[in-house]
Amino acid sequence: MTNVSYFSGNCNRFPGRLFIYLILLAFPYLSVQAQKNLQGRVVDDRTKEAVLGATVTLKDGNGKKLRVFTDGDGRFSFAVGAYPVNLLVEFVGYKDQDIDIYEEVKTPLSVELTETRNLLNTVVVVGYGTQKRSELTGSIASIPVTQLKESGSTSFVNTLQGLASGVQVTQSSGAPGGAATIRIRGGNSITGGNDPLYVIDGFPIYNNNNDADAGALNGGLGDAGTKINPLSSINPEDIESIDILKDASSTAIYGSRGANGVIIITTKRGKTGPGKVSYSGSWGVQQVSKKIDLLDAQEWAQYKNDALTNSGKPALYTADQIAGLGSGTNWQDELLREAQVQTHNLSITGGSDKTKHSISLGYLSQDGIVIHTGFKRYNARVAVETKVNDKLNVGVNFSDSYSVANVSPDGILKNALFFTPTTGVYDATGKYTYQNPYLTTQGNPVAYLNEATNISKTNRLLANGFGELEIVKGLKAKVLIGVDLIDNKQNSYVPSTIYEGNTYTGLAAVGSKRVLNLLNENTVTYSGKIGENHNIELLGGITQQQSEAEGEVARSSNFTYNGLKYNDLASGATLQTPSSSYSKWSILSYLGRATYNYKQKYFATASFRADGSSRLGVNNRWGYFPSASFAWQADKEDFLKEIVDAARINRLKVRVSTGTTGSQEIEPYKTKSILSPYIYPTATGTLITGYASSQIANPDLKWETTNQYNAGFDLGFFKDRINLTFDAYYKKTNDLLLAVAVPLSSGYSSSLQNVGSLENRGIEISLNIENFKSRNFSWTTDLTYSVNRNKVLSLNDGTSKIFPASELQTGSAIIVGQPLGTFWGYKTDGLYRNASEIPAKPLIANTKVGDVKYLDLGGNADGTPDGKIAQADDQTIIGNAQPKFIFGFTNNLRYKNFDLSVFFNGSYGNQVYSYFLQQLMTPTGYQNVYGGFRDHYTANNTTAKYQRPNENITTNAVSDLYVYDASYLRLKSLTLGYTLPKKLTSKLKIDKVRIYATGTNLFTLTSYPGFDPEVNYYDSNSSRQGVDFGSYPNSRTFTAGVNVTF
Amino acid sequence: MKALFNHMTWAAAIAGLLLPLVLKGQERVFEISGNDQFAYPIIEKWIAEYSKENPGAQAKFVLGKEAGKTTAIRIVTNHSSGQEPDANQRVAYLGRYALIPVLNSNSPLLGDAKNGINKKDLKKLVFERNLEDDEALDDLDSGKKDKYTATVYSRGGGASTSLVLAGYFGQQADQIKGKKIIGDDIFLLNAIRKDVGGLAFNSLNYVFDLQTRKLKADLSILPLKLKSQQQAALNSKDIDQAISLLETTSIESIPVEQFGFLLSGNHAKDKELVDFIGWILDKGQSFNNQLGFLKLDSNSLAQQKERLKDVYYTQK
Repeated sequence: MTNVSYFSGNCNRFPGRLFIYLILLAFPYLSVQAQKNLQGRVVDDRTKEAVLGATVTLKDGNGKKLRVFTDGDGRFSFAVGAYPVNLLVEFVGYKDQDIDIYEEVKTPLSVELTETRNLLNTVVVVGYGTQKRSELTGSIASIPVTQLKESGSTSFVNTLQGLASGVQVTQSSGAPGGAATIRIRGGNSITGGNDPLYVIDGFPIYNNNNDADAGALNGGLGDAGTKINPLSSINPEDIESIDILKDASSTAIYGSRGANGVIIITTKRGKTGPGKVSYSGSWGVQQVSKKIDLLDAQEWAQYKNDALTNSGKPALYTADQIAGLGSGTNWQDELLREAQVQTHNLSITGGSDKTKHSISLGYLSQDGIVIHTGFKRYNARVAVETKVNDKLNVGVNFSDSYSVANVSPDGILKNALFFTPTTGVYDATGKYTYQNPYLTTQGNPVAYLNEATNISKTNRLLANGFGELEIVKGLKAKVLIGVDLIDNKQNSYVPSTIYEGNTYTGLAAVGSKRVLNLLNENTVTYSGKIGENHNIELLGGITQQQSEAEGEVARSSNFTYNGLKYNDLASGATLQTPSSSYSKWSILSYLGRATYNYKQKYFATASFRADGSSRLGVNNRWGYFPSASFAWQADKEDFLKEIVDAARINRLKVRVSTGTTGSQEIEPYKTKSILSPYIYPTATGTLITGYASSQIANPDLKWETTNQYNAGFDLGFFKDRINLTFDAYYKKTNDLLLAVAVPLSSGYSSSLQNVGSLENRGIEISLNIENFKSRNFSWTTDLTYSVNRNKVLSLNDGTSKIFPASELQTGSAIIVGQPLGTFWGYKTDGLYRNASEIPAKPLIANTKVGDVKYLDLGGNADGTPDGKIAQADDQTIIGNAQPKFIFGFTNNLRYKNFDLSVFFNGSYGNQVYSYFLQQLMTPTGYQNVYGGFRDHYTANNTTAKYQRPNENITTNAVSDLYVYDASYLRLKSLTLGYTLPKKLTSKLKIDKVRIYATGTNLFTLTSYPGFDPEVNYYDSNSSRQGVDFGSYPNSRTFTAGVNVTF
Repeated sequence: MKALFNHMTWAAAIAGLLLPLVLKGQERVFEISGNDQFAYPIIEKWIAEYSKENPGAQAKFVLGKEAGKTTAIRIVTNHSSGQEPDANQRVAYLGRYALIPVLNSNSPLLGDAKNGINKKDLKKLVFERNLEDDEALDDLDSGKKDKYTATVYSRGGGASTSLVLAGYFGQQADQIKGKKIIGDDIFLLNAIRKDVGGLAFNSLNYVFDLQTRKLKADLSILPLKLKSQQQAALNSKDIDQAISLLETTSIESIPVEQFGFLLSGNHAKDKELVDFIGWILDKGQSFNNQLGFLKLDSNSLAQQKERLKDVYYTQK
């Protein structure tokens, strides 16, 4: 027997060893229970791309919760003790996924999220690119484009009021195509421009109302007439989106032009899918929203008598004559009318995976509420984008508009109000009344409007083409070339048969102006990831832009025959001095931006731009504009989870930003020494032209720079049913461009220098609430509220006040320590009702009881009143145009197929200096006056509110009498719409039909007695805000329209 | 002697260990796998009964329950909404199953729908509105409120039963309303037991107790608008009456789907497999009802047998 060594020896060891062997053999099978690991990946259900930073919460059977965020590839992982568990996946802009998991999942779980398609998940256009709203670090507002399209306004600018916090829009003129002023977070400049930069399909445009004004209109009146807003050439129907960049981190990428904010407009593009043909049309009626109360013929005749007797002259009208006058002529009614407006737009959009196109045609015809004024516009637009191959995209956009405006002098309606009501439009022979019989410098406004011709035709071509190449994955290069060409032609003729043309025996003028803007942008972008959680995007670029403007005006007068009008200047016997002009500027820029985010929780953006502009002094041509911003998605922090959940907050983002932006908006050549022509008569009477220096050179002239700081947060409650955005900002503008007085011995009166500073500080709140939502009914509310405090910090050394030239008539002043738009004049205290109240040296000679009481505020060395009313001692701050706050309030309701939108906007605490009412309250009796003057001082009415009329009054001083509270609450628009049932429209092979009715400017609650509390005659000039010159008033409009998609 | 005994013990032990390996080397193992566990009992039954009847068979059929594992024989449960097989694949259909709508027995829907829900209303109850559908548009335009409400539970992750349910109503699986679960279909019943307002579609073999042949406790069948006899069969809460009804009549609102094996590669021509399938189509059908499944209808059965002859069968 062979001993098998394994088994030799002690057989008792065998069972032990076997046991060990069996254990070893069985070991693989006695598997330690594998840790249950739940892994998954979150993707977008449409694109199948990973969703990074989504919140994934695991709740176990005991209610304990664990939370993680998906990584750069959308993945998540949990260690699970026991099943079942509940998984909740959430991400802003997507519907939540709530899944119960009952057993272990061996393969990674795929969770697909569906977009909710609310406004917060949309892509926002930022400078030189796009960003998801959830990733923004700056302060950017998006405008609900649908609301502004149905307003019936010719220009989208006018309809932006109240739709975004921090954006103040004031209509300078209610004329069709007329201008509006936009301020984003207050005005930054005194003499420079304050308008924001507009970027239209990537083309930066600074909107200058002079670009569409050759300067040939309304000759003989000294009133160039309504300026047509160049932006009125853009058809609101063509706009896809409007985003407003407000803080430095979002505007600094535009460097020298970003100081006043940036409004980015993107027009419609084609979309993949079957072609869609759409038509929209509207018809409406406009009427003046408010008429001014004036005296009628009988009242005015009595007033005239009082003016004459108070000046020691006999009365003009007997009692019987007054009785026989009746109500006389209502000149307001003669000039104003109900005016029609209609629009028609046709668009075709479509595309395939390779090529997308959008074509549109538009027509607008708007008669003005002032007779013989109106605006017609024709638009055509083509946008095509094509994918040449996997790496190369190219596209072109062409947009052309042609508009024709019949323009009236801006003050013609105001002048009509002065016309005495005792005078008819036509005289006894049936011809036009020639002039105001009591104010012989005033012609018949009806005759002027009907007989004079003032036409402004503008053609605007805005085109760009681009090519974008993907060099390697994530790295793209883009080249864009664009052109913006504005061509304006103006024709004017004032016939000799009316007062204004009679002096010239007919005055003809033709003018043209061309502004050509060329743009080239070259940018490189890179987007990529470092590791799983670090996402970066880089942008670098070089851009160059050049603008050339040239114009000419020729005039001729002394025409034998009025019929040829402006068509044959040579037939005028007197050739007026022609004029021509040329200017050019250019700008070269280098820009860069880096955007970083970590796990979609921490975001940072930094940008830098260097601009060199030909407008600035040769020693300071280049400006450098950096910015930085940081945002924190606080709701993703574990340590805040309890607070966030308890408060039902689903989104909390905190943002801070800082940066420097600039403004280069001064006229070209302001840094140069200029020689101007002067015409001198020689001893023999021959006229010769000589040249003399009229402007000192300033080679150091540089940018106005604005340093901005912004802090804010975005809050979403109850799964974004309530969204709140809050921003607080501070902006300080240094190196303000001001005309500094220089010693007259220099031969000049002033020099343009960088001196002075001002600040704007404020808060903005936007609130959006989904009050109710069900299948058949929904109701949302949007509220915007903005407060801005503006203050002049310093002017040039030794100067605490500046009174801009010719401001004496309107009292505008720039004062250190005060906001822009300060009014300066006399204070008053009712009327002198007692002779003892009249000072020894009153302001106006022969002041008597019943005249305005001007306050004597000083004059003595110790500052006490000196008994004299004098400008130097007794004028003071009498008001300010800056509002305490502005707001907008919109309610959108939907019930089945009906929709209703109600939009209020308003302003509180701002004042208006009404030069218009100052003139309308001139108590000389030569003109008609404000209706309140019925209650004027007489011997029988000593408690009257208004002063006694007096032909001898030669001045109507700037005083607080004409400063009014211009706070207002306006029902800006009300729209009711109905979408036809799909069952009905599909039978007609129509996709959608919607009919609607809109009213705009339906009513305004205000105590301001002028046409409209929303006035800004001086357009973009910040120092002269809030002055009412009685410009073309805004209208109330009733429109009905239809939108059809085939 | 003692040593010999020890040696023989060891020899027996080693032989015992090695014998299956030896035998294994001579027998073929066909592994069948699939994600739809509700079909496992019938397949296990077929395997067991076939093995009993054919003890000497050279083929062994094994049901692999490892999730995600790909084998040459896959269980297919979504005939009408599944992908078409590839060129080198064949599908053999072996039976049918029904997805019956069930509720928590305390569900308020039992009262609301006591007269029975028709297919149109059931579709609205289960699926999101599809605005391409004129029916849905009619309701949207007329502002009609939903007649019935419930929280629908369905399987997520592209599960076959969800695809079948959606396909039956002409919808997509992602249009099924309510909550998704991950896990076997049986857990849908857990969900509606927890949620009084819950509704789920599930296979008969899960909904009924196969021993007592009665509807499981805490569950009720959603009242459907059917002919009285048909309604009575469902109201009986008896699985055999339900099977008898569903095998002979197409009942509106109850999807009935075929299931079977997807054969890849050369297995389509394996004699052992062909024999097994042939047995299922013959004697195996008798076990279907017992385990809560329907037999193939006569036409399908004939068709499957014919295919077996023509496509699979290569040897007599």
